[in-house]
Amino acid sequence: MQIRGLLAAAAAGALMLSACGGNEAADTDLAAPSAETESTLTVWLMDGSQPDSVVDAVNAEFKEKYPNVDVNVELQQWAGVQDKLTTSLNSTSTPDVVEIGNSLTAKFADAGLLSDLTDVADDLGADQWLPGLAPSGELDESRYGIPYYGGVRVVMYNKDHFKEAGVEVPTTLDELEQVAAKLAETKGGTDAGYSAFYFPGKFWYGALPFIWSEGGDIAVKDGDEWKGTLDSAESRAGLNRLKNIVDTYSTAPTDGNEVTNWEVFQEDNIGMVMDSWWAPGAVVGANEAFADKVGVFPLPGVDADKTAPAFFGGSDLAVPEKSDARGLAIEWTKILTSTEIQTQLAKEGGVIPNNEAAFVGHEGNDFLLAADEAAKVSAFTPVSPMWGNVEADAVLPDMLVKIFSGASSVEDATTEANAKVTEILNG
Amino acid sequence: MSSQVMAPAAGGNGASAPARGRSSKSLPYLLLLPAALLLAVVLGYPIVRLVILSLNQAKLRDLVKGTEAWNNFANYTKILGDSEFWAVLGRTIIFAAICVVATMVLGMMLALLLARLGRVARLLLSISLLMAWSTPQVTATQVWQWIFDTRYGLVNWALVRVGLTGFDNHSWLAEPASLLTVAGVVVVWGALPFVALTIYAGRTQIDESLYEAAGMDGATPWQVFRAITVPMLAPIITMLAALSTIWDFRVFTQVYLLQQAGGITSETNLISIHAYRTSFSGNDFGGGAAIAVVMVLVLMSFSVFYVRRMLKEVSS
Amino acid sequence: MNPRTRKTLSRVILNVVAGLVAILMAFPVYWMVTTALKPKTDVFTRDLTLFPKTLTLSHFKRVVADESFLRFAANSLTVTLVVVAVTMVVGFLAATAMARFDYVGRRFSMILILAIQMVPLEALLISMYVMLENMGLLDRLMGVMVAYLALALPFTVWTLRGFVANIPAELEEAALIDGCSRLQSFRLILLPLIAPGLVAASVFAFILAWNEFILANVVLLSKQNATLPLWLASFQSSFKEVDWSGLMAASTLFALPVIVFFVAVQGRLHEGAAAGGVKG
Repeated sequence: MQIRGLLAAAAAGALMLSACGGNEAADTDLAAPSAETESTLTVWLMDGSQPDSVVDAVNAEFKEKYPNVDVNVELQQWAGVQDKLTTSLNSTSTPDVVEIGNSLTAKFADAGLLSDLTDVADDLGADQWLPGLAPSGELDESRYGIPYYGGVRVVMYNKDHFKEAGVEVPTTLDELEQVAAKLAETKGGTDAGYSAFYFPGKFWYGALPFIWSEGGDIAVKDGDEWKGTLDSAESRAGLNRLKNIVDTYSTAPTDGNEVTNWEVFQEDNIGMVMDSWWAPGAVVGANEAFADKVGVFPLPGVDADKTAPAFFGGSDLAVPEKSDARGLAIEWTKILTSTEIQTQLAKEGGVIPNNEAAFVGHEGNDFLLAADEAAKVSAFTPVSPMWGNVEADAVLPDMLVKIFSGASSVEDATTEANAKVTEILNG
Repeated sequence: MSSQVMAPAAGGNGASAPARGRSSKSLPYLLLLPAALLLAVVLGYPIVRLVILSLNQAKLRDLVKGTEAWNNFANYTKILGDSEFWAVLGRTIIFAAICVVATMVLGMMLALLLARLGRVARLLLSISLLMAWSTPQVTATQVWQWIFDTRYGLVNWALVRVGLTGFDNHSWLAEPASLLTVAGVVVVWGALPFVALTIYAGRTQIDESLYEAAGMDGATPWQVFRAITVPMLAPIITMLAALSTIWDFRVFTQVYLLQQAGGITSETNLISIHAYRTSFSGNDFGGGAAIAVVMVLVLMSFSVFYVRRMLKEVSS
Repeated sequence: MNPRTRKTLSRVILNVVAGLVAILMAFPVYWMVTTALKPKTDVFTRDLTLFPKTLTLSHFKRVVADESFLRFAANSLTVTLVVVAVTMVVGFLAATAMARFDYVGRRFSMILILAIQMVPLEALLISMYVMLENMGLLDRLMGVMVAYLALALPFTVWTLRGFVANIPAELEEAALIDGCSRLQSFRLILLPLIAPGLVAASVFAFILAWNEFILANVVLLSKQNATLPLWLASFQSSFKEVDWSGLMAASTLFALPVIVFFVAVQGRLHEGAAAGGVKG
């Protein structure tokens, strides 16, 4: 029976458990691979990050250089990915290259699960990376994550409504409020079910630009300590502006999330809505009637010369510490992050590539060009191993929901959230 | 089944063990062996490890490097001194208690209803119960959330239709109590079929002649219920109550998913979610393990009544 | 009112109540299936209808277009059936020991079986993973099977113990006197009487093995070994648009086999009850 074998294995396992963490010296051959190298390379990319054509192109190029290496690309789902990485990266089934949502890179790097890539960063094009994407992969001045691609929030607007109201795309936040007022005047206010600016309460990616554009932030690092800055006058100014807009112009649930924004937009009852860079394309794809109606602009800033810093989410590529094919992994990553492949990714995958030269892949696509524009002025959440905790505890969505629903004033809600952020980041 | 058959168990006398000869000395252990092996191999180490982890300072880095360090019950003192933990625990107890009571009361009513229906009606009701039972938790929660959705939900649509226009765009998840009520509906809806069908199965084993006799004595339905049904089904009811308590105390998926859709997360956390977040997102595996251990201890203390009853039944 | 009409009336009322309850319980399932059958424009609308106006199979076609669906379904079925079968046998043996024999450690084993069910799986995840890794069972169906067996076992033993205990030992003794071997007495006397318990427990094990995501997600790493919950998850989360109609269609396909299994075994609930109805 199988059980005896299992028991023996369990006993052996118990002995091995105490000796985990040992890291054998990497095979020198694999550390500096050559055309003769024989090996297998396991790559984990996220499902939906890239079209198959991009993977095929990378593999083809890789195969030319390393004909005797089998590359095995496994697409992972976002659901449950944190559990999966937490367990796998420290095991024998670790992949050699892994895509990580960039707000988690610092956490896994801090845990010692990711290989330090500082020595090869320049070789991988570090000087070309978008300044908005680069910081997430860095911890304590060492490089662990290579920026793969990113995505920003943009403002999607209804061109017909703008025409009816006789308004143009706003270039400052004050103008945006004036445009919203005009739209509400022409199309009816929230009582009539019309949202001049639709904004669900949990949408913190959408709220951050308002904070940043006034000069506020979530937290800043002061020496070794993080200091929460949500309660600063600047952060509060941004939130007050947003609250005013939401109160006056939005019919969205004050406790809802943003996943149906692009569906609601198709009701034709929305003037402007913030959403992810892919949303305009999805609207047109789902509803031909909107092909000529959808317009996109980056959220404007306080002044006309600079758009509001956009939240730049995205993915990093990393090589797990336990990979036994670090050299090959770096080679494969290098191809995937090359300008040539990044251009293809921008064109066929519709994401924002990791360097500006690859933006050419967006030519002819107004939606994506507007996203590129937004990406040029961007910001990111605090790069700390503890940041995942702030997200998991839903500190920012809770704060926003309390503000928009009127359960707390901006002052009280920011004070509370700020204390939590400070405590968690320093914990 | 006849009254003699049911009576011993129902009366708590327990079944007597047959043939306790020398040959059966080793037999029970042989019968237990496969189950014991499986549990020991698969769950034994993880559970021991959980307890050890709860006594150590263990961040992800420590798990990776094997550098967990004994920290003198600091995880436990931290939990017990954390007001959030107590809020979560209290919320979980209230939530579980309401769910258990609702499940048991409604389950009993459904079981009695099933017993009084004709064949066809019973089959139809059983099938609809089975459908609810077989829907995966994740799916069920998503569908219910969609039904309660602020903008596209059926509930608001229906309420507005019947003239309650105040429910237009009403958020069912915004208030913590409201979110937990929706979660409770999903939990009870999913648990009812199991409870109802099990009680019903037990009910069919009660000798009908008992009811006939009671009917002849002119007992009211309530009296019959109190004097026959409840005592006869007592072992099944306590078993179901114990299981429901365990399951409802551990509710995770339903609330976790609703929290993504709406509401205020920090005011709706239940203990299993709290433990998970502490470990995986909070990078404090020692603390998460300690919460899990406390959870088991709390559940154990709730089950004392049940365990006593069970052991009495066994030993007599 | 004469007793007869009163009886008919109460019958009608009972049936009406039963009908309402049935509708209420099945409604979410109905809503899931019809949502999957509606064109998208009829889903994201504030103008709902209880019955779909237009039906489309396009969402179903889309979600099974990927041929790997069949492979995942086969994996899930294998895992689930093995888990159900083995759990029932192993669980029945242990339950018999607990209900029928007085052995040293009996109380302890019973408390242990209850206590194990109180531990949250999420808290054991990492250790179970390490365990399976050391057994060489990562990325193998065998790995999740072993884990699910252990997870389904406590409930099974627990439930079956109650059923076995409820059967009078005299019945078995009579059979033994009649010349049945112990094995025969198990098979001929015990088994039919505990059928309802086996049904309840096997349904529990079926649902557990069929639905489990958390462990499958970390253990079954390669696509060829994935089970259906992992497939379903691909519709549940994406950083791009959520495919709500596709998700509902996938969920329907996912829930279908469980419903079929239920309907197939549910008759046993009554059958077992009937078998127990023999006047003892």
